[in-house]
Amino acid sequence: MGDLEAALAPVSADGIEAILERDWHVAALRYFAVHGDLIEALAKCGLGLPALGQAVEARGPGGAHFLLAARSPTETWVMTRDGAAFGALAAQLAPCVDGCLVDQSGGLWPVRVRGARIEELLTRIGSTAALVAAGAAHVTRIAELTVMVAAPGDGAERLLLVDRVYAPHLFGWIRATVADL
Amino acid sequence: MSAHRLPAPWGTRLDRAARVPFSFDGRDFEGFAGDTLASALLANGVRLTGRSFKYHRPRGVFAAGVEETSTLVDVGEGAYRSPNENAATLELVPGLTASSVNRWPSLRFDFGAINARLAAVLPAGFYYKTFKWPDWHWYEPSIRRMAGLGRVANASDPDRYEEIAVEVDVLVVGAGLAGLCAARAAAEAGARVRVLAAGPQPGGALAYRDPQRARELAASAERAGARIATRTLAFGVYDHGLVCAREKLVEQDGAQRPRLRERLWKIRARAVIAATGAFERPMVFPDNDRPGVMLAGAVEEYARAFGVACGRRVVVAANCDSAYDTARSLREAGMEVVAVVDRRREAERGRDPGPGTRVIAGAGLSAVFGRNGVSGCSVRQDAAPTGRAERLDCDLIASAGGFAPAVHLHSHAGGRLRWLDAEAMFVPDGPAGVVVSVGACAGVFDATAAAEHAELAGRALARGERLPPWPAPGIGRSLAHTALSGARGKQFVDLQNDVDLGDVALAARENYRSVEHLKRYTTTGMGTDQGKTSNVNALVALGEFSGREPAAVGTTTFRPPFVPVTLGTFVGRRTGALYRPLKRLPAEAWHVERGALFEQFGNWWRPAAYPQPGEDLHAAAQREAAAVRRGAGLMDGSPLGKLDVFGPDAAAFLDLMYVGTVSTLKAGQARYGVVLNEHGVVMDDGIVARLADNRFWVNTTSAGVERTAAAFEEWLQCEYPQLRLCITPVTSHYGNVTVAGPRAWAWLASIGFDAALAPKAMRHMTLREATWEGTPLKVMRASFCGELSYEINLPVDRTRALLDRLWARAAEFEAVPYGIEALEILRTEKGYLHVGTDTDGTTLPGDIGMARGVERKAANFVGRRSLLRPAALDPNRFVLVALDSADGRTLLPVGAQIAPEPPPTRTQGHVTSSYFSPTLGRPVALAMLERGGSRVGERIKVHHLGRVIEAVVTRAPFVDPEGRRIDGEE
Repeated sequence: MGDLEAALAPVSADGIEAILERDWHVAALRYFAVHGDLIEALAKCGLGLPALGQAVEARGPGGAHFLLAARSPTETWVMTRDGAAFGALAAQLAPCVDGCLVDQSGGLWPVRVRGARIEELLTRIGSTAALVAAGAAHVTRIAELTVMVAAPGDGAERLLLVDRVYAPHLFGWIRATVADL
Repeated sequence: MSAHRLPAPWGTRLDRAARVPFSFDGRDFEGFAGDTLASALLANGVRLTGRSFKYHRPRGVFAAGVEETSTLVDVGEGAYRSPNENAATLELVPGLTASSVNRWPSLRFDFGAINARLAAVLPAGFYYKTFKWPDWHWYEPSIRRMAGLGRVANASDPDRYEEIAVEVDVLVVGAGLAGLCAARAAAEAGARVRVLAAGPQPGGALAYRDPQRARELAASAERAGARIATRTLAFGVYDHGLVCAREKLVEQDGAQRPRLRERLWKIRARAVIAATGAFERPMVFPDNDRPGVMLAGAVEEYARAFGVACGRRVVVAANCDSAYDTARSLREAGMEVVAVVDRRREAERGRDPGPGTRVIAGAGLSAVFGRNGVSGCSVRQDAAPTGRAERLDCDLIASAGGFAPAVHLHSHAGGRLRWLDAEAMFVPDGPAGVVVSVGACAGVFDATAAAEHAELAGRALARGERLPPWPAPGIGRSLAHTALSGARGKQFVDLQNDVDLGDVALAARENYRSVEHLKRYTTTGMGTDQGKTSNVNALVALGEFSGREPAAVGTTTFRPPFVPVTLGTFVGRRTGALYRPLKRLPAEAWHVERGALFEQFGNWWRPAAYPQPGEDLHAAAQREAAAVRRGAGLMDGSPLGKLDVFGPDAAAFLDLMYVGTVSTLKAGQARYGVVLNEHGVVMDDGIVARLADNRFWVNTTSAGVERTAAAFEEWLQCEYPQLRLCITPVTSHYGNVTVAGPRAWAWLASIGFDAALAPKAMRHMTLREATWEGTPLKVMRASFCGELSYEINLPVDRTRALLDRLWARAAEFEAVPYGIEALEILRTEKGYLHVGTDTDGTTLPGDIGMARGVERKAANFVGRRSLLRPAALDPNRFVLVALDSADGRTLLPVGAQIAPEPPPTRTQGHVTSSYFSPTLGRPVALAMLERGGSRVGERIKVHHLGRVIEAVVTRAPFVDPEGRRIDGEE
């Protein structure tokens, strides 16, 4: 095994760039139904659940920028760079009984991929299921791993959300593939 | 040398300005850009290019495409060596180095050719009958050495391979006339269309017969929006419209440098149009395998596409009308057509032979002269088997036995075939799933009809409309059986596997009536041929010998891959570090800095031990285990599986998932539990702690968290959907540092851990939420080593900080880092089982001492019903026991069998865990033993590789049976 930090170094080549975003705060919102106290509390924070298969950007506590990506009918991943806003959100949702926020920060890592050759990369390390339209998100297989692909905003970039322990493997595939693009 | 280059315009594929040096069997040659290895060898007059598989008969280039089986060569050197490459599709590149296969010491002088003289005693299936006494294994190595043709490289492949996925509406496989017409029509109808051309340019046969039209057709398809991929060959159709293709990016040119060599295309298509053409069927006559006997279409292709006249005087052995077109082409190329010997009667011929062509109708070849190259043949009327044969001098025999549509993709998709008696061929019986065949592979040979049918099919598929009716073949009559009655000598139906009519007759006599049985018995259609040229001749012969029509005999099932595909293409990027996803510890660098020896445990790359200078793994583990018993040790337990289970029904659900009862736990309490599958088999174990009324912290084994979480989800979603709870894996969010040993608390206290966590304040099997230097912790008192032990769970990014702080004070407490090997020693000393090591796919909870837990639990749980089956209640079940070696010195090997007599005998169990105990100074072991619970004190025999070791059944734990060490030093 090679050096872990070297394995996670950014990948940059003509038409493609992949960067690990270590400082993002990530949580799983888990709920039994989309009409419970958790969803109400979420709304009070300025956030709403995206439809299944969608990723939405929104302003949360303190006007902080949040990204929410639906993972399943009972799970949405919520992400922000703003630690204070994340903490405020967690505190707001803590008393809820119809669902909960499970902190996954540091355990789920977003990898930001951008550049003109995104599709060439994704169809080589994954399948056509890795191609998501702007505003969409779903879980698929990339580099033999379970990865959520989200295309927030205008879809100019993709976020690959991967379990931290597998991030070196994902970067290994990206690095090897980009070298041959 | 009879074969030679033809002047331009012959050779449409060639760039005669670009000369290409290459070597074959150590001899240097020169070809042109655009040549294949086969065409360049022919142009250089090389007729002998290979040796046959079984008899080592001399062989030459036979075909011009993927159906070539006689000229397989090894290409490249060293690690870049690639075996059994097809010379007819191998593009010539400067520096290409090829060598013939299956011969020794040389192609011309091959010792293996003795087999041809022994042919009478080497019929089909001889090895099944002959090499049985006294033992097949005596002969197996020699036979294996003789098999396989080429030699693989003796080093790992340095080249790179990749894969790519695409989705299209219509995929067209084959870029000949029909394929391009279909693609253009589908694209014009608005479909996303991709066309796969196996060769370096689109056009198929049209590319050399009418290059201008081929270029225009390809350009018009591209203008309509179709994308054409060249050098990309579809080798398989799989479920749900998945077509896999191999794209060749480079040929081996002798340069010793790694390159991106091949690409695997995974294409999902709503509709697939197969336009893969047809294979010419070889004629069956004596010695029809001699160098200089070639498929007629190949002879024409070599002339037109590669500018090679394969001979000067040619006899066309015919069974179809296309032979006359070939004869005309060869005359145009300046070759002398001695005669067309047509097996059909004059009335069955559908073509005017043209002026000056001598036709010998109703006749066949009764002999071929020449050993390493054709020098002539004899011809005899079918109606006069004893009549006088006429000798014809020639150096080339063009074999035109009719056509076999390339129905492979249709068959991959599960399509049925039907036999056309007049044309003597199998054709698709309608579409097969998403696959629709057009052109010659559909049995449509008339160019106009094929183009029209393809266009209609392409348009219909693009629009989702009804498919057009199937047109007539338009190819004329062919005979099914082409062999001449009374002819003598080997008449091959399968050149690659040396299967001749005699072999098929033998199989029929031995009642191998199924064509599938014929294939396995004689090996016909195996290897790279896969029935392309052999299938119809073999099954027609089987029908002839078993008194059945070909339609009744049927055909073998064509399965992927259509052509050989390198393993590298399937492997893609999955080599070296990318071979398998391994989980990396968040604080990996900390362990590296301390000299950890890493190994893979349950997909985790984690320290096995921390050897000091002069220590091996064993010594390091012994030292570390002893240190934990004596003072303290720390382990990175981050891989420990962790699940967050939340919801009002969480307790009720976990009661269903575990043998033990979870719902009676109070907040802060923890309990060991075992998870069963529906068969009652132990699948994982761990500790469940209650955080709040509606929230639980669930620890699983490190390797078992994915399967446990998946099982929980499956039960929740499929069987208990009414329960309100969520299961969220959180293994990676938390780091885990486990501090164990009698001085564990003192060590933790020294870095500021809250006194509320001290053993006196916090009982064993409890969990407390605390903070340390502002970091939130979940601290569990649980022990897998029998010592005072704290499992400290904290945000993953703080793991290194805790390790550093502890390490800074380690010396004061004689503390060490310890790895998995030491942990295994410690838990074995205590008799703690390790699921997956001490258990297997048959182990029930009663086998591991949990019978009381099962009996005491009144409520239902997963697997409970299976525990009431008779097999589960069998008193002779294997039960986990402890073992001491009788002499107190010998380590019992893991996996060794327990039985009164040496194997082979019925086993009574096996050793599951075995270590030398540094605490006791002697070995200790665990084993699964038949009726183990009632055999304590019994001497048993342990067998391992011929050794017998005596052991005594005893009780665990070996160390601290009273459990006094669990609270550490006071």
